[in-house]
Amino acid sequence: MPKQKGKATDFLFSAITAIAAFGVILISFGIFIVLFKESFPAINRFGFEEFIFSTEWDPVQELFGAAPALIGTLITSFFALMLATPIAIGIAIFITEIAPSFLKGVIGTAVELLAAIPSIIYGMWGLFTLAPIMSKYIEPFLQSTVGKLPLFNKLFEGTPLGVDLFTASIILSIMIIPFTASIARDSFNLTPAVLKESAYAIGATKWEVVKDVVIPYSKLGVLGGIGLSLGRALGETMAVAFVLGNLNKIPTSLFDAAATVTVKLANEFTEADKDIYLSALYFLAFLLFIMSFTILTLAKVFLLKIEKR
Amino acid sequence: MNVKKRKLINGFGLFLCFLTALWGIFWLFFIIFDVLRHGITAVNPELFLKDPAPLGEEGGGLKNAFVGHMLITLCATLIGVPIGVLGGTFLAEYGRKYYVSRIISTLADIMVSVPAIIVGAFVYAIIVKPMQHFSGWAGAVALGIIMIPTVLRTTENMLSLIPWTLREAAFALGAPYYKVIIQVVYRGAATGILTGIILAIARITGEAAPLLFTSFNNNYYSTDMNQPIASLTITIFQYAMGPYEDWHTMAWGASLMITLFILFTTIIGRILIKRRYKY
Repeated sequence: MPKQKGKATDFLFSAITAIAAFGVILISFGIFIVLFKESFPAINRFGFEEFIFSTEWDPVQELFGAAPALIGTLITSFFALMLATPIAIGIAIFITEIAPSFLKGVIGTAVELLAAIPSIIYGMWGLFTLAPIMSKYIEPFLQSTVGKLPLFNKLFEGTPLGVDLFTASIILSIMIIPFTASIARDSFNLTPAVLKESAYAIGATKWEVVKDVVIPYSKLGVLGGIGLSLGRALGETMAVAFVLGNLNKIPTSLFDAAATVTVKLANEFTEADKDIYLSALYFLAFLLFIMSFTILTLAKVFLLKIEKR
Repeated sequence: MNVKKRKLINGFGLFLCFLTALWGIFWLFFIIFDVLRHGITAVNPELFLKDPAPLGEEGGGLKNAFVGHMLITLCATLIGVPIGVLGGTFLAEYGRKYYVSRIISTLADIMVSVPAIIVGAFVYAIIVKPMQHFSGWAGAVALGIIMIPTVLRTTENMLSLIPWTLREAAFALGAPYYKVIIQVVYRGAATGILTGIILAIARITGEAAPLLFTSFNNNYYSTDMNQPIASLTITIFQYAMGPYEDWHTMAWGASLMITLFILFTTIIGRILIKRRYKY
């Protein structure tokens, strides 16, 4: 008898754990289906292409186009990535190859704490501390130096107010450094010591070992880390909501206020008084979900490839 | 040969890497110092013990937001932790040989990084819309959903670290699998799982985006999870964007409390895991 009971309980327990595990699949597909269903009226009315390329966003006339928000998202993420990637790789090199062992843990933890600071704090700090510094010192400085060069003058046009794409990109870049850095560090650590030692043996300097042995060996992992950061940057909401201004216009300069998909959602979701307005916002959310999911999946595929090696 | 030049490049490159590390640490300290500097002026007993004053009146605190935030986080933990731990148990134990477990595990890794605001929009559609009003429960569900993949993945990893011989020893005594898991495997992995839970709580404490359209906000003291409820993060957003100086001060005070809590729990989690698993 007791044995029978044990079997039944065991089956019950395994069933419960299985249900919990399949919950993850349920949630992922649930998000996909629900977002699609909610955005269906907007997809029907505006069509996919028209919605993406149209720049109008006029709730009163029920005209909705995603172009400014999508472009804002892509620009901020792109610049954040351009800034964060070299720095994150540098940090990973410093931790794995240069720092004395007592510094390794300290610096590693410090950089990862950057990821623990919540995005709303980044937003607060960005609005009240970084934006004034930007508009007073850094942006005028950039305008008077780099902004004078023929190719760059368009990028740095306009009044430096601090609440713009540039500040948002800087904040985003700080936020995503830890993701690339920690994955790059782990993949650098996977480089076989024999490879490095043989390079040292033929007289290579440390920098040459890093550049010609470590980085080529672990480039898949670094790419995976960059993809993960990009996925994070695309979906970051609160930090950019504070410093971007939610202006529905295609930006022409880095010193323009703009909107991103997430900022639009955060600011307008609870104000959407018409069904088609809400549906258009869901369409934006759906596009964002597809973008970030695709990029995160790619990143994960890269990382799985290394694990197999 | 050009050894000198190569050495120069070497030194320069390594110095650049050193600078990048400084860059990262500079921002961490800049942000923490700034939050401390602004927040410390706002921290007084009133901040915790009083509700917001009506517009135009001096004083007041954020008791409603502190209580609401704790309630939402607690309920989210009660939703997210059991599902996460049990799901992780399936992946590491019963389902470890199925291909679908690898898929779930990969999917969970992806879901960890999916934008939090998307989860908010999802919960709005499945809970807020049918109920026709914002509610604390909706906020708790949104945060719970964000918690599940993190807890699930750490549980899976921690259980996989328990050696198989330990389970076999328990099997040999005639224990059924569920008893082996609960009394042997969970016990061995307890510190690790607990750390995962602590880190997951630290993460959801700072989330604002998923609460925007779910628990919304409430200017009054309320513990009714069925109604809109105040949270610290949404209050920070609202107060910081608002025009009043004392709103900004209170927002800084709330930011300081959240930052301290998160940094503290994160560091505790790291210390716990370092002591248990010396890599």
